[in-house]
Amino acid sequence: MGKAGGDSAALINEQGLRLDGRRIDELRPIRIEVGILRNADGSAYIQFGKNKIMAAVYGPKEVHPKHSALPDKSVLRCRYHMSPFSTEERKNPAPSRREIEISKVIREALEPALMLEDYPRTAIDVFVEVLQSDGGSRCAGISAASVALADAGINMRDLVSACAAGKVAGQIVMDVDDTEDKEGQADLPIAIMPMSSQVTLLQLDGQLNDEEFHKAFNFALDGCRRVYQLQREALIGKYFGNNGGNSDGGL
Amino acid sequence: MAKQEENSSNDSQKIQRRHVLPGDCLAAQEEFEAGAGAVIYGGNVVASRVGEVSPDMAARTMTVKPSRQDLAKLPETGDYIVGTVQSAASSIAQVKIEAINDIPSSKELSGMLSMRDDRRRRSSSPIKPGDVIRAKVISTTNAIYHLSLDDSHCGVLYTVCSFCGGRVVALGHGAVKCAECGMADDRMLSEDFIQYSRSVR
Repeated sequence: MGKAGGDSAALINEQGLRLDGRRIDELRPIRIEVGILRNADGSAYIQFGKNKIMAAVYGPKEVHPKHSALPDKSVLRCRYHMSPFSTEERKNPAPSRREIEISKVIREALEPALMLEDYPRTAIDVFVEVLQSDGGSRCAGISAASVALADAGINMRDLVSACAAGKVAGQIVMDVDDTEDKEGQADLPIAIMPMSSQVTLLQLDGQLNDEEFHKAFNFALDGCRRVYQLQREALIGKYFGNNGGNSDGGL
Repeated sequence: MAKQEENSSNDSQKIQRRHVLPGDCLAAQEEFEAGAGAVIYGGNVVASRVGEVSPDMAARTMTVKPSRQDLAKLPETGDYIVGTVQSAASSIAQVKIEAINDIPSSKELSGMLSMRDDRRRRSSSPIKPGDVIRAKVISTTNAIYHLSLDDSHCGVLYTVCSFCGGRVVALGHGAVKCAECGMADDRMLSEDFIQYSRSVR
């Protein structure tokens, strides 16, 4: 479904502030917690503005059915799911086409960072459960899932951080929320491996010209780097205490 | 030269205290090799898990000690596992692995126990489905955990009578007798079978 791109002038006021009072280059408030589910091997909870998302990782473990096991690496399985109470109107809990697609893109965004070859003939399950949604839940889900994978002790080449940029009322903005996503003209979610500067997810819904695309990409990249710092702080806080780590992951 | 050595020592201490996250650069590929918990990526040795850097300056190897010891651990050659026998034939059995080196594992992995090296002639399998055994991982070829009982620590830790399900007592190392129906059966018992059987009772 393309962007409506209707009457969106009111989405940014004369002072350049958006509906929720943010500037165009400002992220929503983000909070990440690590290891909050006792029964999962790794878990994380993220609040990304009004998004509330839980990510849980199980594995590496035996694959069922066994014929789906790979002899040389682990099978990564992701499930993105929106709870029935996560939206304004009750959502059918059965997996929708959109959820199946997002599950796939989350898997593809995480896979390059994981050293799946270290766990042959096993499966790693990643569950991303959206408890409350407000636009940008796939990016928040990827960021939470990446932290949960690190918490589970899965060998990784890098963390994965995600953020979106978009075009709202003719302007490129960072981190679009639900209203901006629906009323705006474009949405560009990206995920990166920050330390190695590699893009693992890039989607574009809507139309942007070359200049707008570059500006939106750089906005999203900047957002990813800020999310990465929060991911680091969350992991360091959990494992080493607030003063225990010498966070040198500056970008 | 002395100053150079002092700087090297300081660098080493600085590295030793570092806590790292996946993706953190530990050293250049030309200077160090990647040990456990590290990987060569993009020309650098980078951490692959959350932990503490432990450089071996003599072997020029960077390793990362994991912050959580119990996670993402798969059996390796030389490890001892405890598991339940799922199915057993005269020379081969499938074992569900429930602990690796006495650390409980919920990964539901299975191993293949081969008893071909057992030269004692037996009329039936020395283990039965449902037995709890300790075995040694002798190979992980093709990511299949090949197990063996050829070790004094290995063998059956807990079993019941295969006829009536009653409690059994050991008759030496290689047989058990049911305390209820009196049936004798072959079992390759572990040296601490009696201790384990008592703890289960």
